[in-house]
Formats: sequence, C-alpha cells, structure tokens
Amino acid sequence: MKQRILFIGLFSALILLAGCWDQNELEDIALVMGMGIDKTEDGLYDVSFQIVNPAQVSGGEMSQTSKGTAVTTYRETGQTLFETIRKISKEVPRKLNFSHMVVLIIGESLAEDDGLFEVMDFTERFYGFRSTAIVLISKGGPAQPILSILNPMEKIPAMKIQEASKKTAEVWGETTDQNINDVIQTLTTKSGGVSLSGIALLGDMQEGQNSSINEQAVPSTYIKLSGLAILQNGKLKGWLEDTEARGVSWVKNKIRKTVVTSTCEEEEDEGMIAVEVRNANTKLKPTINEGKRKITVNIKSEGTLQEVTCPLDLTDPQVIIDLNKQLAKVIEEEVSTTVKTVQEQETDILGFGEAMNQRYPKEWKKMKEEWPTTFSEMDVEINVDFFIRGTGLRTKPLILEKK
Amino acid sequence: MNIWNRYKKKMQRNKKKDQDASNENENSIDKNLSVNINKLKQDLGDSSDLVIRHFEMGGEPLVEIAAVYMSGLVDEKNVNEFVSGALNVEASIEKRAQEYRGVNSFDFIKAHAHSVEKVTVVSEWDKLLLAVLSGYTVILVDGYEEAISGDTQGGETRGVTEPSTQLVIRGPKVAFTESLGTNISLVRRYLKSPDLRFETMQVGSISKTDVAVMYMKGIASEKVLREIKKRLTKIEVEDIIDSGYIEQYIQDASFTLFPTIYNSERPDAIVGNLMEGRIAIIVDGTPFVLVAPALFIQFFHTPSDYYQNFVISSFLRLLRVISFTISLLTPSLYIALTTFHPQMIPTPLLISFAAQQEGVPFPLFMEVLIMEFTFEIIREAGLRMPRAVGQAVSIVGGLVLGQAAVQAGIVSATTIIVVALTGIASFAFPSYNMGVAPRILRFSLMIIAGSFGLYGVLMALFILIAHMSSLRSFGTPYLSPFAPFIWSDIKDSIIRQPLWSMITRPRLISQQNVQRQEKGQKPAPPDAVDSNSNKEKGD
Repeated sequence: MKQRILFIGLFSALILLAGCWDQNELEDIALVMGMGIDKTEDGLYDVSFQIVNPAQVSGGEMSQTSKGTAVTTYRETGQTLFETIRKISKEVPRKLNFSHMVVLIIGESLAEDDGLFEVMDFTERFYGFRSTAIVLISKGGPAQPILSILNPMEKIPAMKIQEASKKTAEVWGETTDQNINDVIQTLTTKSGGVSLSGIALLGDMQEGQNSSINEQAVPSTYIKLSGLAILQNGKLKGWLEDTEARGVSWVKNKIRKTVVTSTCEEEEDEGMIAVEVRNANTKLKPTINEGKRKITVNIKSEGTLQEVTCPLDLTDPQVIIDLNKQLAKVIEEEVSTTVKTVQEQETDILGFGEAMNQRYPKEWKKMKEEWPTTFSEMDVEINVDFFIRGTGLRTKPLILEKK
Repeated sequence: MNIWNRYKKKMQRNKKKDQDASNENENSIDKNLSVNINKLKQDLGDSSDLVIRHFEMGGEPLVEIAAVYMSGLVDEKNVNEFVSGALNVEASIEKRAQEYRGVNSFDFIKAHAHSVEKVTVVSEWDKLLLAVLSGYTVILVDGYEEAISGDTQGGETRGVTEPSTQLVIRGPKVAFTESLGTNISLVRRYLKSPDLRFETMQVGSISKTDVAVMYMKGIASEKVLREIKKRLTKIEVEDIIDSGYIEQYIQDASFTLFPTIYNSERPDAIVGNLMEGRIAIIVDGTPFVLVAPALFIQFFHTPSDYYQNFVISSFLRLLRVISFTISLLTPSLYIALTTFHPQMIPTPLLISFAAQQEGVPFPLFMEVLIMEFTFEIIREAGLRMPRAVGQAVSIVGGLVLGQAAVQAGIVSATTIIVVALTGIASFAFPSYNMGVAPRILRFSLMIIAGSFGLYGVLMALFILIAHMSSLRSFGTPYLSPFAPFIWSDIKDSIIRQPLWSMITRPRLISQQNVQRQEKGQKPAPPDAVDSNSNKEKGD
C-alpha cells in the first residue's frame, strides 16, 4: 500500500512537473516561414512576418478551388522585438508559430547602424525560435520588401531562399548558409568577424507582391542571393561580390563543389575550359617567426573537366599537367584578392584568428586585443594544388574537328 | 466475520447431509429392471430421445434385458452391433442355450459384449446416467445391480475442414473440429511417438466436458504440467462451452488486455508448440485448442513462418510487430504531434495537414476519436452481418462515411488516412485475441495524447511496458526472450533463423531435453560435401 501511494505520488509529479507544452489546434496557429527585421527612422523595430496560407500551398483538391497568394506578409512596429510578435495579433487572427521559420533577414541599415547583438539575443532567448533558421542580410534596402515578393517555383518565398542558399553552398560555394546558432557562436569569438550571405530584390516591388507575378514566364521581379556581408563586432562593414565571396569559402574549407573557369594558355583562339571542383581541402598553417606572424593557406583540390572550347589534345599527360598548374593559379588569384579585400576591411572573417589561437594559445592572448590591425598587416601565403581527375565523357574536344 | 463463518459452516454441513442422503438412496442400481427403467425415465424427465429397447433372453426363466441410449448421441449401427453382439443373437438357438447353461446371464452378456470400444461394468447410478448422456449404450439385466455400458458415441458432427481463422498460403490445410477424439487423432498423426501423452479429465459439474491435457513426455516441463493440471482441477463451474471458459479460469492475470494463453485451430501449430515443450489443452466441443505457456512474441508467429524461406518469414514477423505498433500508436501520435508539437512535423507535411484542417469544425482530437469509433462500429457490424448484407456495409462504411465525410468538410482526409491505416494494420497480425490489446489501448492512448501530448503517450507506453513485463504465463516471463533477454532464443522471436540453425528449444519453456537436432546440418552443394569427406578420409 505504501509502495502504491509512493508510486502514485511520483507518477503525478512526472505529469505535473513536465516542461512547457501547450495544445494548439492547427487552424489556430499561423506558421511563420520568414521574419525580417528593420528599424524605422524613429528607432523602432519594424518587423515583418511571412505567414503561410496552407490551403494555397498544399496540393490536392483544396488548392485549386480558390485563388490567393501562398503567403501573406504582415508588418508591425515596436520598441522591442517580442512586443511586435504579440502586438501583431491585432492584424493576424491566429497565434504565431515560429517553429518552422527558415530564414531570418536583417535589414542592411539595421546591420550597419545597430549591429546584430541585440537582435541575436532575442532569437536565442525566445522559446519559439528554432536556431536552424538561416540568417541573411538584405542588400541594397530593408528586409521587408524581400519577404513580400512572391515566387513561382517554390510557392513559399522563404523556402525558396533557404533552398537557394543550400543549393548554392552545395554546387557553387558562394554562400555560407549560416544559421542562428552559427552566427551567435562566431559573434562571441574574439576575432569577431562574421560573414553572412546577402539577399537582394531585383525589379519592381509592387509587381512582385501581386500573385500575377506567378503568371509571367520571365518574372519581372525576383529575389536573388547576392554577395557576402562582412561584419565586424556585429556591425556591417562592407560587401564581397561574386568570386571574392567564393574566396572566403575556399579559405574556410567550405567548398563542396564549385566551378572554376580559365582561358586557354597561350593560344590565339579565345577558348575557355571549365572544371567542376569535386573535392577541396584547405588547411591553415599559422607561423610566428621572430615576431612576424604569417598564415599559410594550403589548398588541395581536384575536379573533372566539364567544358572545353580550346584545341587541346587531352590525351597528352603534359597538357593535363599544364592545365593543373593553370587552374591552380586561377584559384590562387581568386583567394588572394579575397584575402586582400578582407584585410583592407580589417575584419577577420577567414578564421585566421581561430587558427592562431589553436596553434599559439599563449601568444594569442597577447595579440587578440589588437587582432584586427594585426590581421590586416599579416603575411598570407597561398599554395594551391589542383588535379584534374577526369576529362568527362569525351576525350577529343569537338573544336578540333572544326579544322 | 463470526456470523459469516457460522453461516458457511452450516451450509457445508447441509451440503454434506444432502450428498450423503442422495448417495444412500439414489446412487445405486436396483435389482428390479422395471424400477431402474422408471427411475431412468424419471431422472431424464421422460425425454423423447431416450430409447429403451426390451429383450428377453435365456430359457427358463426368461431374463428381461433392456438396452438404453439417447437417440441423437449414438451411432445406430454401433448400437445394433453392440446389443446383438452382447446377446449373441447370431448364434443358433441351440448353441445359445448350450452356452447359456451354467453361466449367469450377466456374465454371459459381459463375455460377449466386445463389438465396440470401452465396454465397462457400471455399478453406480450417476455413472450410468453419465454414460447414457455421453452417447454410450447401457445394457441393464433384470436381477443384477450392475449394468454394462459400451461406447457407441456418434451422431452428427462436423467433418474436418480448412481452418477459417488462421489461413496460410503454404502448409497443411486441416483444422480441428468440435470432436475431442478427432482432434487428438489429428495431433497423433503428426507425432507418431509413444511420448505424446494426454490426460483427460472432466470439467463442469453439469456439462461434464472432456478436457484433454496433451504434452510430449520428456520435453514438456513437469512443473508447468502439474500447475496446469492443478488449475484445471480447481475449476468448479457448471458448464464449459468453449476453451475460452478454461482460458479465463486458468490464466495468470485476469486484468490484462494481453492474452497469456495461446490458442489455435491448426493441428500443425499445436504440434510445433508441443515439440517446443509447451502443453496443449484440448476441450471437447470446440476447435480452438489452448497452448501454455504463451509469450508475447508468439502471437506474431504463424505456422507458415516455418514452411517458407527464413528471410521472408523474418521480414513478415517484423512487419507484424510494426503493424501492431502502428495500430496501437498512429492515432495518438497524430494527435500529439499536430496539436502539441507541430515543430516535429516536416514543414511541407505540416502545411498539408494545416490546409486540410482548415474549415473542419471539430478539434482534431474529437475528429480522430469520432472516426476511430465509427471504424469500430463498421468492423463490428461487418462481423455480425449476414453474408449477403456484408457488401452494403462495406459500401456504406467505406464510401459514404469516408469519402462523403471528407468532401463535406466534416473530417479531414488525413484523419481518414490515419484511421484507415490503423484499421488495416490491426488486421495484419495473425492472432485475433492479441488484436484486442491495441484496439482498446488505442482509445486510452488517444485520450492521453489529446490531454498531455507526446509526453503523455511516452508515459503511457512506459506504464504499458512495465505492465507487460510484470505478466507471466505459467511462470514464464511474458516478454521473454527480450525481457529477460535470452540471446539463444532470439533465433525464433522477431526473426526466424534457418531451421538447421535452430538447435535448441526455447530456454524458458522447458529445461528438459534441450537440444532438438544435430549441429552442422547446413545444406551444401554435393561437391563441397564430397571434398570434405575425401579430406577426412585422407586424414
């Protein structure tokens, strides 16, 4: 009997002391897919929420019956972020649910003036967020319009941004695909440099908000990942463009697949070759020699030829060896421009500080205070090895047949 | 307390007195035949199926003889043979007279009554009554306090047919019948061994049902056998109609949804179990034979698992266990995940759920509960319907309730899918009485999921598993070989290893005669065998 009472007591404790859970019917919650944070001129947060209209998105009979937009973007201002989330109930008839949020877009001016620290604190503190949402900076304007643009292929624009970012990181290597967790972690390291992908709106905003945009074969308005934002101490300092942005991925060993192109060596014909890099491995090797700090970036990569428009005899091993050297040089140039640009910005987004810390922990303690300047004056040596592992399904370039 | 005890004692005394009185007055056969006949008629309420045939025998004086039997219970041919044999009617009158001289008529009949089985001399009245009521023919001789009974059982019985509940694709197509004798013979035909034993006893103070305990001597556990017999003798009821009665009186735990005694109408299943050291209980009047001890995993096995490739058997067993889980958990997980933890559902799926939920008037929990309940109604209705109406049930149940409900927007399509999946899964495991457990538990799990979410479901599962591991079937832990974990018995649990690799019998069933076959029987191509034997020779 005693045991039974004890059991009932312990068991009810199990039920009553359980953590947070709450019951919500599906028709009572609004799924927020994307969130954009801007600041108004009065210094208030201007937060926009991209909310799914499930009936418009899902397949089956329901979606065909009514016409409407797949998402609706609501907007609310407030002194704090949390305030806006609750205040928006005046507009949205349901409770906001952030558990499926995939993107968090931070307005360019907010990133420039205030920095990320205040915003990121909330994203981690608030129980509703999932830290796997990727963080982006809107380029050339506020975040709100970007969230309001409709998209034909992926019905939910936020999902489009997420997928585009993932795919680019996978096959092109220009974006970094950083989520809330990653951002908070890099913000708190002492070297303090954060790089975030940028997203830009191209075309007319009014047009992009209308569902008729989905009836155009060539969309006049669209959003596109573009550039890489450099942040120092959470504040936006500048942008890297195209291959400069990819250089960051090269150094940080984040290249999974990408395409490197090069002109043909010493040929009169204007031909190009393109290789798909399939395997890349970067190692940072910091050295301190008589007080002189230096970082050696060793990149080893390999790939296959995918496109050849030069008259080259690919069956000749020497040609391949020459091509290897030539491609290595292209990559080296790409990386060194990136490093130079970043050093000019005095922002270590390349992880040099972390490498230094691991190799020379004692010296790091001394140099970390003035790291930005040290970083910008540092010697950087770049060694690239490239190997062509295959020439594709064809050996002899078709251009040779032309003659 | 005192009053109760006194009352009990008094009752016992009265009972004893009654019994004694009846023993003195009624439990003997009278010398006078007509007294006996009258008594018999009186005892059986002058029943119209009671047949009394009068004969006279001998020279001087003529002896009156009566043959008594119940017309529906006997084989008339056997009765005729028995009676004519006993009275030796075929011999000539002279010869009969000759033989009859010097011997008394009772002994004469006894000596000649051997044309049927089980001829015995009955001297007590209640045994005589029982014999008559069991389909025996009883010959009463005037002037003797004894009677001769012979087994002339017969009458209408069902022939041996294909099993109707446990169908297999490959394997014997025989099922037990309602006749105990036939059932025993069906098992005997598989096991031509003197070690196959059965002990018969009668259970039921009025029905006097024959119950046979069958086992393999030397393989079955003596302890379990003793326990089963003890529990069977303890049963004091008036009638046993089906083996289900026996099951409910002898099972270890009454307050559980899980069956702790296995039943089958397939002789091959019973034989397989006997050879594993289990004990079968065959009850006269029902084709369902009980087997004990039974384990949880046993209810997911079918006899045909052993007849086909072990890979497909293992896959099918896994499938059955999974479908058990599906039928138990799907509705509650659906409720818990969508209403409590939408973050656990992949985004596109959640959006699809949400789209369907739009405009449905009920809370999800109510919706699922209503549909599950409806499904149970359709299922029960389909079971009891005359076959001709069955189609109407499936049309109304399937089309009208399912499709129309979705089109009308009263329930969401996902709910229908969940309910349908649950329903189909509950038919995927072979044992009907194991199906009871998820059927009932499903509803309680749904209520728990609706009020506590996934946390509650996990708590409930925790309790469920604790309950299951507390169950015993005649001393054997219900969840073995998983809890307690017995590595050697995994070979025939959720998977089935090749037959040649199953060397030992299940360990917890019986410790007697553990090894069931020789090692190293893995089939190999003839070349390999030859070269091996050559090598041995060379060595």
